Amino acid sequence: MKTSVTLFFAILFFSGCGDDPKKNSPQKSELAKIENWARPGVQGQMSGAYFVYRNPLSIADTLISVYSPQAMMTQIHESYTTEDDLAGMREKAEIIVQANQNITLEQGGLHVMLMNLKTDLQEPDSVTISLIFNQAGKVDLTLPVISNKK
Amino acid sequence: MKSLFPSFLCILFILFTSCNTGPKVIDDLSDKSFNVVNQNGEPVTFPDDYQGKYVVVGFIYTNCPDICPLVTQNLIKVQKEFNNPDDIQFLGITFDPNRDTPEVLKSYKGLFNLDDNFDFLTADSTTISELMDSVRVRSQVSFTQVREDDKEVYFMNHSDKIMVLDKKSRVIFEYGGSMTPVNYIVEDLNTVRK
Repeated sequence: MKTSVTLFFAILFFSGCGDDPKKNSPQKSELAKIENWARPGVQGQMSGAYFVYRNPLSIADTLISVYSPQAMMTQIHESYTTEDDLAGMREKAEIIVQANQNITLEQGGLHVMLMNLKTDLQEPDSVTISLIFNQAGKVDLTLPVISNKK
Repeated sequence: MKSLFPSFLCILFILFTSCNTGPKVIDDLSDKSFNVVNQNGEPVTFPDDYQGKYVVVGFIYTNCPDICPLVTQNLIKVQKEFNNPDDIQFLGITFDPNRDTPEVLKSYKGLFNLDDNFDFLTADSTTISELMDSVRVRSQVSFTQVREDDKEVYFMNHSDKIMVLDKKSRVIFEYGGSMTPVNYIVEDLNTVRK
């Protein structure tokens, strides 16, 4: 009898009373609605820019560089998770876009790095970005600066 | 029957001690004390100065253009969900103190139009290193680039984390900072604030 009671205690103690562990685990990104925009930024610091580009050609194209007159240096970067579970970022030398397909640069993934901003960026400013493709050549985009993006 | 009475008491004891409805304490920071400064250069003792409030903390560096702003945006969303509550303090603590001076943090805060119960904290490298160790936030320089003006700029790999401290400076919730749906944080805070 005593053994049964002890077992009952043990089961009570080790079961049932914890929180739902999945609640505190990293979850799928609640990524915002995709649109073209750029982050606010302070002169001399960084900003990020995001957009969707559709390759209108019937052949694949490759984005080989990006330029903005508002930053001293502009690159395509990609956010990723390292093997030891850290948030990291790396440069993407090029991005291939299949014929009639989109490339999406969005928060937490591919993005344009605007480094060493020449001036502050804030609403309602906009950022001009030139995308250089192997096939399509130069494509200019104008992106509104949005703070506190949803 | 008499012999079962102590067992019955024991059951009651276990039920009342092990099944409290509060969240598990992940880390107890109440015995820690870090001398930091906020974006205005005002001295702050973390976490002591925030005891008596819930504290929602994100870890960032301002030269991060993508993940860290997402962390900050999530904190802002939580703050807005609660309509700038008096009993919740929001903090962004940098793990890059060499570049993130109070002046830089002040500019960073200005980008987001934040109010008084949202502060950014920095300190000397040693203090920040100890603080990050105590909350298990890791960071390391990932790569360095030379800008067109010949200045070097470095980027960092880092933990992606938001955590919640209770009123006794105990860590009670942790989340993926940039990825967690904000309503999870809001629900958890609602649970403990009841």
